[in-house]
Amino acid sequence: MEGKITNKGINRLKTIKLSKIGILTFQLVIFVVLLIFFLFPYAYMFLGSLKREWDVMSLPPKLLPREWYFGNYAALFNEAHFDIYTRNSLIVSITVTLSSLFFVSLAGYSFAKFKYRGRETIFTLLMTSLMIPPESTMIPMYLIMHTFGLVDSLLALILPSLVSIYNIFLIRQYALNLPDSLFESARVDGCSEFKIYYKIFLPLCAPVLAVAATYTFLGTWNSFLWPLIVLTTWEKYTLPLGMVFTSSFGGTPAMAMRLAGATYATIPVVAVWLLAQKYFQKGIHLTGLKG
Amino acid sequence: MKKRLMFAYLCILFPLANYLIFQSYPVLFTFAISFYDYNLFSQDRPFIGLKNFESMFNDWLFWHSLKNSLVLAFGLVIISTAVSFFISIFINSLPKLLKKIIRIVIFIPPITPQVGWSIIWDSLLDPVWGYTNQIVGWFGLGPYQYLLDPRTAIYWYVLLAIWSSTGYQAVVLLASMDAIPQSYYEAAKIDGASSWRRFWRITVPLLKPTIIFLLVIRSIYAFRFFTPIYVMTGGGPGYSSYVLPLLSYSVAFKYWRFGAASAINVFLFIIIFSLAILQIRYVTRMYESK
Repeated sequence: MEGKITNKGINRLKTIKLSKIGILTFQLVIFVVLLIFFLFPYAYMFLGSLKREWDVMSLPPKLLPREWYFGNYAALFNEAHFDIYTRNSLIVSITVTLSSLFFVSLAGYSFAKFKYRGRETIFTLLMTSLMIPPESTMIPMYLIMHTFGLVDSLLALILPSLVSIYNIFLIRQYALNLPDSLFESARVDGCSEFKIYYKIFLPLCAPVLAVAATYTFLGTWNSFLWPLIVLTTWEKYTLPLGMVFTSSFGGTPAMAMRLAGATYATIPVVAVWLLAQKYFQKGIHLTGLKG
Repeated sequence: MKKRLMFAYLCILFPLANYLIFQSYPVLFTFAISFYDYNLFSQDRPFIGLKNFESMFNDWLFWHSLKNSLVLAFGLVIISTAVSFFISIFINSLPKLLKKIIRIVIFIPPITPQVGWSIIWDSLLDPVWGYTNQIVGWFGLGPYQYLLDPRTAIYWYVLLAIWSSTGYQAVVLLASMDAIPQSYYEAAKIDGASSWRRFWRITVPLLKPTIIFLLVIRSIYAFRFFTPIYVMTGGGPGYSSYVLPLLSYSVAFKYWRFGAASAINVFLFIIIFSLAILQIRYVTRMYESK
């Protein structure tokens, strides 16, 4: 029987080939379904932002604009003060990210490369803050801001976020894997501690710093609850608040404009994140952590 | 030596101060003022012991909010974890290019601002102008009220929570799957184990810590779910979609009753903190298995 080409054999080959195509088709179908399920809302958002208001409120609802309109984006800046919201968000996010990187890298360096009394205790203490839900701390934080007259100020958004405990954890993990010899030899050469940090440690930490920076930036940029609580005048609003409170010029919610606002806020986030992917692979691999 | 020591301590000084001021002090203070009738705009702030907790447990809105939070928690935890599990298995079987693409695609909802997709879904789920009723119409299903129906509102929020968090879970599961050494599978193959058996005897047990970790963080997420509800229905229609964080926010910053709100926050804190302890336990187990 071996080596003989039988009808049975050929049929079997055909069945195997068919089932392979069947599987591939099935995979493709599910793939497309997933694609649509997760991305459709964003497509809707983008297309909706290019509609006129009457278009969004016409029956039957259509996906594509009946009349393409780019004016919503202009309106965001001219009428809805998005220039101010963006400025506020940028000020807060950039300040927080830069300062956070500075303090977090110093702390991570200290925890990983120095030995001193209470080191582990303090580190564990800081780590417990990761278990504290922010919602539980909002009222006293508000009272602190109230006491110092910082309610409705960007500073109130910046101060609590100057340090990210999670990032300290990331950096420490990464730093533990760095050879001590590098730092020791620099010390022997007579380098000051801060210089060692600045010239040796920081550059070495570039990948994990990129990861930490991305997390911090995105977290701050997207944050909603605390700004909602502490900001009261629209001039101080950050982008998430501005998006929500962009309503109406005359009573009816400006849905197309809101969708334009959503597009405006979402695209940079996705862009930043996609760009950061390169560093994520590197940085995460080196810390042995993921996500 | 002394200089080194000073430097080391200086490095952690600021984070420690920040922690004490913005983390531990607020938590302690929250517990403290839950025992007072603390209204921001009145001078009279008497100590009232457990009265806040008493009225909290007698408030139907508290129990309603708790019920909704639990619906979110169970719905999200069970459905989202199951769905992300199946999705990750599916993705793992895809050819490399498709795998790469889909990994990025499913991760987009988790990283985009909640306000962003809240606005989108608010528009999509509008019973009259929204496109969703169009789509379900194609399948012959009647127009639904979605978030405007007090009976079903919270369940649509569960769906939204699933939509926005499944991607993250699937990616974490994929990473854990990648971490399983190929040698395990090869050894099993040599021993003649079928792919079904290899899956159940190798993959699933090794994924267990990750799955439990995901269950825990999903439940924490469910109890903290605030922004979409605030943005879309504000807890409505009426009070039908109220959840605990929203209740706490309303009591605190609409009625300025910090004492009463703190009681709710204490309750929330205990739940979430306990879950977080579990989370830490399973994170360490997760990394040990790698």
